[in-house]
Order: sequence, then C-alpha cells, then structure tokens
Amino acid sequence: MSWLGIVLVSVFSANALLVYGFGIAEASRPREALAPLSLLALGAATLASSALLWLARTFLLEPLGLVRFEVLVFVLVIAPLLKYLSQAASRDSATPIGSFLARVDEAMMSSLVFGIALVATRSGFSLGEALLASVASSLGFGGAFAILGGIRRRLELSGLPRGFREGPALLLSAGLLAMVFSGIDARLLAGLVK
Amino acid sequence: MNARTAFVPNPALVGFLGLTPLVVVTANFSTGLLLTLITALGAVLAAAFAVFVRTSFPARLGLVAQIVFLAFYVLLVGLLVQAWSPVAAAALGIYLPLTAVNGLLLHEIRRGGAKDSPRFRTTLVSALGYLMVGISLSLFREVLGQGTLGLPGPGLGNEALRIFAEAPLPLLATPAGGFMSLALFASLDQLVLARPRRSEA
Repeated sequence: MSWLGIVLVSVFSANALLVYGFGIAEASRPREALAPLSLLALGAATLASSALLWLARTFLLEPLGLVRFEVLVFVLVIAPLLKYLSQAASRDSATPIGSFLARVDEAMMSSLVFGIALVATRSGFSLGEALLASVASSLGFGGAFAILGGIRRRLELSGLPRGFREGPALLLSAGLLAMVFSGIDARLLAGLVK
Repeated sequence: MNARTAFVPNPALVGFLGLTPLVVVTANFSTGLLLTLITALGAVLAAAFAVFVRTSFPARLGLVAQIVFLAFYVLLVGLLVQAWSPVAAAALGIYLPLTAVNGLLLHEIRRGGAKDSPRFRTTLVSALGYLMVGISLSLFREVLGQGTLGLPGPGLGNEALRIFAEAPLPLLATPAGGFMSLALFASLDQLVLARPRRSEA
C-alpha cells in the first residue's frame, strides 16, 4: 500500500474512533472540544508508543517467540517510560511545552494510544509506515471527535427528549457517522493512490 | 440500607467506562460474553488487590503494584483464552490486550488507591452491571444483527444456533450498530432508572 493509501485508510475506513471504538468514552462525555494542543499531544503519544512497540515487537518479541507479552511491554515498560519522560520534562506546566507534555502524560495510559499502537504494529507495516499510520489514526480520531463536538453543540440547542440527552445522543450520532465512514471502502482508497 | 444508597450507576451506560470493547466485540454473543466477563472479573480482582495494596504498600508504590497486577492478569487471561479456544482468542484480537487499559479497570485502580475508596460491594455491583450490559448487548446484536446465537466453547469451532433464517437488522453487527445499540441501552437506562432516583432524592 502506498503512503497516501495508508493515510487515507487510517483516517477513513479504519478510523480509530468510529471503526475501532478507541476513545469513545472521552467523546461521549460532555466537555469542551479537543484542543489543538491535546490533538498534538495525542499524536506525539501515539507516535512514540507505536515506534517503541514496533521496535520491541520486531527486534525482541518476535525473534524470541514472545509476541503474547506485548501487553507487558506496553504497560510495564513503554507507557511508564514515556510518562516518566513527559513528567520529568514538564516541570513548568504554565509554559505551552509544559502543558503539551502534561497532556502527553495524561494520554499515555488509554485504550486510544495503546489501541492505535497495536493496530499500527500488527498490520505488517515497516517502521516508517507504522509511524505514518499512527499519526494518521490520531488525525482521524481528531477529525471524528471534532465532528461529534459540532453535532453535540447543535444537539444541546435542539430540545431532545430526556432519554436521549447528552451521552445517548452522542452515541447515536457516532453510529450515524460510523455508517458514513464505513461506506468508504479500504481497498478502493488503497487502489486509488497506487 | 435504603434504596438510594444501594443504587450504583451502571459504569458503561452512565459513567461511559469501558465502552471501546462494547462497541466492537459485542457483535457476537460468545466474544461479548467472554470479554465483558474478563473485564468484570478484572475490575473485582483489581478492587480486591487494591485493599491489600493499601494496607501493605507505601502510597507511591501502590499504584505501580496495581498496574503490574493488572498487566499480569491480562497476560494470564490471554494465555488461558488462547489455550482454551484459539478461535475465541483470534476473534477478540487486539481487544484482549486492550483490557489492560480498560477505563473500568483503571477507574477501579484509581478509586482503590484513594483513602475514602468505596466499599468492595460497590465494585462488585458495578462489575455485575457492566457484565449485564455486555451480555444483553451482545445477545441483542448477534440475534438481530446476524440471526444467530453463538455459544462460547473450547477448541477450534464455536456452535451457533440459527434463530432467524435471515438477519433482521444486519446493521447491528457493524461498529455503527454497536454505537446505536449502546445509545439505545443508555437511553433506556436514563428513562427507566433516572425517574426513581429523582423521586427518591
């Protein structure tokens, strides 16, 4: 698959939020829209996790036949290491960089970051392709999150029945959006940009 | 104990915890049952372990000990599922290792570390609530989305009962159907359970 194909598939037909359900809990809770800084932090967290998980899988786990232990590698090595590094570097959270690193720290132990890293490393990609797929997946998540945020703001003004306010309305909107995204065929996207 | 103190909001439908596997894995009854059972059991064990950790470890090491416990629990369960049914392990795919960072389990770890952590019974009820949602959601989605009812079993093949000749609502077997089913369940929860809670308050 070409690099553009990887980006299109990761953003649309394999969207992290709408196809895999990663981060749906965050999207369903009533809160402010995903800030650009949070999206950047998410991209950085997924990029670093995917890189480390890919390296661990390719050079350590697969040669030793220990692929099943990747959960231990992520939870006990990669996530704590990246959390420690971001905490150590973000002593002054008042600065934009400090705030960015604090958000990287927050994002690390989530199904979104681990899920994107797992998908990117299990797809048989090279390191460069896996990193591109993880960044594109974060972008796809950010896009879907932004669309759902826009729908949420509209729904708040529309006087929904009591049973559908907030969470259920958001989940229903996510379902309709997932239908749209699932209509975009992965093979078609990959074939368009050979 | 009055009804109000006994009421524990459903973690999936009210707190939106552990939704990721519910959206995708509950398309089949056998995988939905298996994964929600693993998650609910993990939440109960995490809460029980938190009680031990609170009394035996310094506060800073407690969180680390709980995360290590959770990682080994997921690894062990993964190996057991693989040995019991490779088909089920393959069907669960990435969602089995993702249990280690499931929102419900992480919530239990954070709650368990707090000094004013809730009683173990609350966790038990919460885990049962999650399990009930997982079971009913996967039953609803497989029967209406695929017209079958797959039963979990050991080995390489799972038995499936044919309920309808054709699936009445194939959309329910897709992730989009997962979101919509969850929306329906959360809406029912708001309508049915919110009313008595308000009247009691």
